Amino acid sequence: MSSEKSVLDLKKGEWAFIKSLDELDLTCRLMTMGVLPKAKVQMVRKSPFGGAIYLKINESGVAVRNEEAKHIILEQ
Amino acid sequence: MTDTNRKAVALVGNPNAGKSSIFNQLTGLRQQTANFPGVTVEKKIGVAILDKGTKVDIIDLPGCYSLYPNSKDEKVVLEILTDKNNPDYPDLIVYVADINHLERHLLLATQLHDLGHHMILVINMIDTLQEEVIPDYKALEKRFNMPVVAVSSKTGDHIQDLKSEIKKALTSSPSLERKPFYLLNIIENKTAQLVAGILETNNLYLANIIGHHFKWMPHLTAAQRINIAAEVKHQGFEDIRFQIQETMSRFNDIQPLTVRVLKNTKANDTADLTDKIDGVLTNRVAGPLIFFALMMLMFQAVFSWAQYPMEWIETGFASAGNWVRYVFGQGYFSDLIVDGILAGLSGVLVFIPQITILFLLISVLEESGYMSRAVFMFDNVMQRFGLNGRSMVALISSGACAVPAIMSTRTISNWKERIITIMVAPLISCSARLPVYALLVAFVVPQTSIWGVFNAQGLVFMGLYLLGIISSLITAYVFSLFIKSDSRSHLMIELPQYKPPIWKNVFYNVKEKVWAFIWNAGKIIMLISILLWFLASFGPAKTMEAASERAQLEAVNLSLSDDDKDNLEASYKLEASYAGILGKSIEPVIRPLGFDWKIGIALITSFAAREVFVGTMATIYSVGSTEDELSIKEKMMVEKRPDTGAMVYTPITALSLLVFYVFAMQCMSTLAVTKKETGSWKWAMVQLTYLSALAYLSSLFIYQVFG
Repeated sequence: MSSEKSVLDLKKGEWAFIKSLDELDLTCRLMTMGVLPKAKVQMVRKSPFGGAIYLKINESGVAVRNEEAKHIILEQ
Repeated sequence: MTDTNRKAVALVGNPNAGKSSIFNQLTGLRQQTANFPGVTVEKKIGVAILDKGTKVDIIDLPGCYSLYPNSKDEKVVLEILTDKNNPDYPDLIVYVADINHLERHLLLATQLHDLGHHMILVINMIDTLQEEVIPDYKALEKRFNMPVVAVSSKTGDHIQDLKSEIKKALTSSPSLERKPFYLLNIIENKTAQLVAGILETNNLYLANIIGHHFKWMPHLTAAQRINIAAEVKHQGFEDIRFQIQETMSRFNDIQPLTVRVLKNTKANDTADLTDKIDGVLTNRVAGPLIFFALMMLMFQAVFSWAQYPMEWIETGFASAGNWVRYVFGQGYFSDLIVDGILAGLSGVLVFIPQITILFLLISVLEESGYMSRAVFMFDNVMQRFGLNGRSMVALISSGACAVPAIMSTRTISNWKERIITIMVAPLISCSARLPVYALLVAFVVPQTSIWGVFNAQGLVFMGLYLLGIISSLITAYVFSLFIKSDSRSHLMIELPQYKPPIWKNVFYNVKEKVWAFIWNAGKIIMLISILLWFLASFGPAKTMEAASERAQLEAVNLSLSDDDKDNLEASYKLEASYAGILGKSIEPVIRPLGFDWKIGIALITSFAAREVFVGTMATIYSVGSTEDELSIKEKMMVEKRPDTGAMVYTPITALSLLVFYVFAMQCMSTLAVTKKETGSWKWAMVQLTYLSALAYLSSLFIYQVFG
């Protein structure tokens, strides 16, 4: 699993496509916010006090905690 | 306002889809806020006039992402839309989707479609599109097999068309020929058939949804619940995995559909603007600084902008009092009106300008989309105190009033974080404390400036607010050590595009809240003022006479002027009155805090609502003196202790009283809403107890150490 990249590995401004979501409890909720496999995700910035990141998914903004973001797996 | 014969139309949609704007467009001023019966969520109901003679009820349901709820708000929507016997079950759903987020917003629409609801699909925010390509709404109409109306809730474009579609839909029977978006898998299908049998429904998707949520759904009977549980277990029905499969499958249908509908439509480049603004507003350094600057600005605005209208109101009440005395002459009737009702009312109504400004600014922050940025920025900090980033919204709105603030915690899905937010929300100084602070702060420091820049009284004010904020964080931390968590805590929050606030929405929002303040506070204050006037003007006949005689005697001995004699008599009589007896009875308890029996009376009367304090002081000092021209403040300034002749309102006494009001839980409405939101009196009592103890001990500390 360690070879897989998650959204957390993106640097500020970088983008990638989502491959999958690997945590059952979070998946439904993330999907309703537009975090879907094949969607384009961009890392906008980290929150001022850390702990959360600002993502752009198909042009809409979503904030997630690092804990949640690490389950958003990216296409290689 | 609601009429049982009128048809009910429910507005449903994701958060930020513009539902409230459509609600305001449809209903205008014909709206009110009520609570869902049995549930704790606020609902907005209004009446829309479709054309001459056709009126319908419009219910604005809370924003909801899907039929798999993550918060209390969403559960309410599900409860209403899956239970035909629910009093709020609509005759028609008007589903609102934002054209800029069509894919995401259609998820819930497809679920409601499959539930078989009579529906109209509204595509909102068409004003944000560039005009070259017109979306293919027919494709949507065809797939959903229901009317589609494209509107702009901002400009009001095509709202009239929506009205006629609503009318048409309500007079025709729905086309139920529907091609489901989601086909149940084998296990789901089998389970749903059995559940459908238990529920006596023939909609399999409905049965499937109930199969997921039967554990908490209130409308099911115990027998139904047991039977469904057995079937679900027996068939190997998998909760989360099936939910994910269904959601994926729906998006697989929706994605190509939205591509077909939107073709090459482009939105105006507001997204770029949002990026630029957020580059500054959520910046690592500038973000928090701007946030605090905004809060300071808000604070400043409340005090400086409100000054003139407040003076007008005060002058207005003073002349009304003179007019009453002029028309009705001296006597009990004039006394009751002027010293009782007018004194009490003006003490509170004078704060309408400040409260309006506060609600206005908070409403603008919410409407513009800034609130969710505050949530994002401070989530990590809030977590350290056992709270959620979303608690920021509640704590900021608590600056206006704890009641809507506590209601706004419904978006926090984790119970522990939610309950802690509810517990500490009353510590943030609300608008009802303003009157009390404003009256007392003058006794702590004079109206001078420090280093020529800061207003001394302003600094004390700010100190009181800070005291509330800091203690709310400390208290939250302490609570977090004792309360167990029942589920994982989430952030996952939308950061919508910035948009200029729609002033119509802001106006309705502020109007509703200010009116609720005037009406609720006004009602209590009228009642208490009248009661208090009686209690303060009358007493046991013997002691009242004795007080009168004593005053006469002393006046002769001290050879006082007539005016001074009258004042002395009035104050002795007040002491002998029923209110005096009441205040004296609690004096031993509050004496260590530096309070006398007159303050005691005010503490008792303001137990139900803290803003009553000022009204009570006004009434007490009006009854206890004959000078109408002096303001309450001036009367309190000259108040002396009868035994020692020392001033009653020394800086330390005033400070002790101020700190008491920072902490004390003197608000029935807050206790009631806590009870409702937490489902039991337990938490309301915890709140009352810990806040009262905190208030008493802090005041005791201040008066004993510094006094």
